[in-house]
Amino acid sequence: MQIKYIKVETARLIERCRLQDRQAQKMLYENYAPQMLGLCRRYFTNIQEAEDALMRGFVKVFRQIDKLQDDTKFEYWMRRIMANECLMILRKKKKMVTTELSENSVAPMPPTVLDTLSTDDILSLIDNLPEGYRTIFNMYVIEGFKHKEIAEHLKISVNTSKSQLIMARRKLQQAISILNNATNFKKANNT
Amino acid sequence: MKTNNKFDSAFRKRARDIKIDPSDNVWNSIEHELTARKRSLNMYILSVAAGLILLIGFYGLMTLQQSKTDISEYHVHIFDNEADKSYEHALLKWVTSSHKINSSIPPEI
Repeated sequence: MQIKYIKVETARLIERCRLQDRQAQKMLYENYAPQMLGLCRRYFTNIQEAEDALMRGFVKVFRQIDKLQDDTKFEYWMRRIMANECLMILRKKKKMVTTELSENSVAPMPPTVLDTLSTDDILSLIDNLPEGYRTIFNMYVIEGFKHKEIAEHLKISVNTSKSQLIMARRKLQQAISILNNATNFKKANNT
Repeated sequence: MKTNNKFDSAFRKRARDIKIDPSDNVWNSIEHELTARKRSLNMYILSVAAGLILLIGFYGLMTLQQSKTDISEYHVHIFDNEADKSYEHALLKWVTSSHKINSSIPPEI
């Protein structure tokens, strides 16, 4: 049996939020807002759109907190709400461009290279992906959506979702290689 | 496939760590949205309550009107048949008398 933990403080805040206690809502917001804005920011290249999604997401969280049955899943539940808000905004803007691609093998990339990158580097790598690739990469790799769920959310086929993910990975790996080579080149020049 | 999984999990770990402080106006907008909703909910409850009060009032008024009509019909029915005007007068006097609580026996014919 898997045991799930939740901070006592968070559990109390959730309970108070169910009673629409404004102070508790603010405390819960302050605890999770930076993390959730990080999530939203990965879907949008500009911070205003990300903040808009964050605002809508939190309003939904506080209004629907009664629907949360298992408090230990609060963070997962909130992440899903935030991701859905981002997708809703993207869908309204109809900015998503998806292209069907055949499945190709991905050039192997040592994952340890990622550890050398800063948070800003990671964000700019995601930012540089085309919107469609970025959305699917965020949903599948970071938020853990299944291809079927992505297809339903974005109204695309499962194969499109899979091919977009492959392309996103490929683009990211290329960009990481370039970034890594540039860093190594700088280091070599300095020594 | 294994390489993809490793890459995905390494990226997930790094990407989930990203934290950005939102500007102050985000909380203000959230608070405004929540208050506006509460206000509109209160207005809804108030209007439903007002509607119910009006409905109950209207129903009460209609019932009162109906009972008055019934009483007057009943009186007309009795006195038209009896045709005893002096008894009617005595009876009405007894009904409207301020001492009716003490005098529980109606006047005799």
